[in-house]
Amino acid sequence: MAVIETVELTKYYGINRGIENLNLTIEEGEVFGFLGPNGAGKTTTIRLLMAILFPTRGTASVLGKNAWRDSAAIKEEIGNLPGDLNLYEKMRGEEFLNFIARFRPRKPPVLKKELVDRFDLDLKRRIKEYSKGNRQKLGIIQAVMHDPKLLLLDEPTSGLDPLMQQEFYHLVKELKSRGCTIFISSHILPEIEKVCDRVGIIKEGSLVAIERIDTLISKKVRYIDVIFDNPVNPDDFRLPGVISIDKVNNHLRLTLKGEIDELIKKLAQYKVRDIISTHASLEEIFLEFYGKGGPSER
Amino acid sequence: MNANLFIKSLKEIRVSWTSYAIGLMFYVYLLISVYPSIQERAKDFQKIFENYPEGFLRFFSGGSGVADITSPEGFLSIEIFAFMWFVIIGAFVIAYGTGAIGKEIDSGTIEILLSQPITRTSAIISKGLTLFGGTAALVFITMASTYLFSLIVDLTIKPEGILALAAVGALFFLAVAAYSLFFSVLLSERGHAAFASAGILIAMYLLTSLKQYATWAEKLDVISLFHYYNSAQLLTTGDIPLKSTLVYAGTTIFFVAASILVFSRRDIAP
Repeated sequence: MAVIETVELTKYYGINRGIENLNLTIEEGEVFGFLGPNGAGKTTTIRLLMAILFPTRGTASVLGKNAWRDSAAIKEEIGNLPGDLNLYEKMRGEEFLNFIARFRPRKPPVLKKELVDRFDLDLKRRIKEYSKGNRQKLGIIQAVMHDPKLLLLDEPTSGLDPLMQQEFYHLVKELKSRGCTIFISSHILPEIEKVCDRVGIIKEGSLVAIERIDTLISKKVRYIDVIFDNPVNPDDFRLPGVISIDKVNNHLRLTLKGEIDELIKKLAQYKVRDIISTHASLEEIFLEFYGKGGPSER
Repeated sequence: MNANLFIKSLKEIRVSWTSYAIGLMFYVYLLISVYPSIQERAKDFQKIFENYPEGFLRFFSGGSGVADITSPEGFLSIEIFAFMWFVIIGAFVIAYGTGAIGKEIDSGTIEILLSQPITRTSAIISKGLTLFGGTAALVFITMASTYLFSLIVDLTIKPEGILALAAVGALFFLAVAAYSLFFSVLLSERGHAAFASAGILIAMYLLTSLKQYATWAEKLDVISLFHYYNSAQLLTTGDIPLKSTLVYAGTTIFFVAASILVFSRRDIAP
């Protein structure tokens, strides 16, 4: 069953484009990553699905119901973490979670205690005293505590420290194993890779591609900067997956697409002074795989 | 109506509402306590009063045609239920009316609120009920204080007059609250909504107060809510005019319905 289905979903803010002709189907139990740079239309999409915005044209169904007409009923089963997370500053953490919980008398906050412990959050303090990370934790807890069927998370790890990010990734995997469908919007590719089954890449309001994560990984571009002790012959590194080599003195910049294992083994034969691996930016992936092409589904 | 949101909204206004209520009681007490000295020198005060320009008196009585400041009804009308009363309760009504939804939009909490299983209609009704309840309660507190303090200083007023003024006064401020709520859902910024609401209230006040000086103002006066308000008459007769009731109730219903309609159909982007 499609938990989220959009057909030609389009939103314009006056003459400014939000999203355009978004066709998206997300199945039950799937963890879907929505990847794109800032301003691409990720938040607009989530706000449309949450009926906070109304579409210029197109339709959207969530949990089999009309996203706008049946909005209140749908939200009984949804947890939403907004990207621009603004909470009631004067409330204490506990008071806020209780306030949110009372909106769903039929869905008690069964995961609240567990989540508070996992994220190590002090609920006695006022929200205005919380750090950005603690606000984000509170945002995650309020979205998840009633064990929703669908989670919409907009930039969920924003402000979380690395340990808490790991905790969040574990949580997503656990929720997936419980059958929860999760829609994560992010501009961080490694984050999406870690937890998602599929990824939709959005650029300038249009869906550029939808890929399975394993397919994306096989296409992933990395830059490997290697500084050798002695001069080397660049041709020795023309291995499968290496798509370009640039040489400056003892420094080689290798552009690699796909698995890194063979290159590492080759490098092990040389005396290497330093090695740096960086992922290609989203923009570079777009240019590499999709160019400026229109929407396509794979 | 959503009880959870209604209770939260009540909690939000409890401090400011209580401050307003105490302030109003103090204001009423302060003014009523000078009544005995005014009555002692009734002739002198009446003479001074008669020497004021009529326009001046009309301005500070919100258009009420007060003839005798030394009578209980005249005194209460011009000293309490006129200019300052509109300023005090009007400030509360406009601040909370435009903040009911506007504050949620301004602070961005509207996104969390609308992520919960609650219809927009239910959200605005819950907020609106707090606004209307708080407004009506302030009016009734003014009236109850007036009646009680009047007994202390031997200022005789008809209970039915106070009740009539309470009813019409409450309806008047509910109408102001309703259009403030409307501006709060129509305009994206709370400041703009407050500016528009206060501007309209002031314009209506000026229109009614100054109608005798300009033909255009006299013609336009019928659209002013103050046109249908006469505290001296209400206190004297104890009758609730049907026209005033219909105008205020109609204005309230119209703007509440318009607020629901606009809020249910507009994009909410913090």
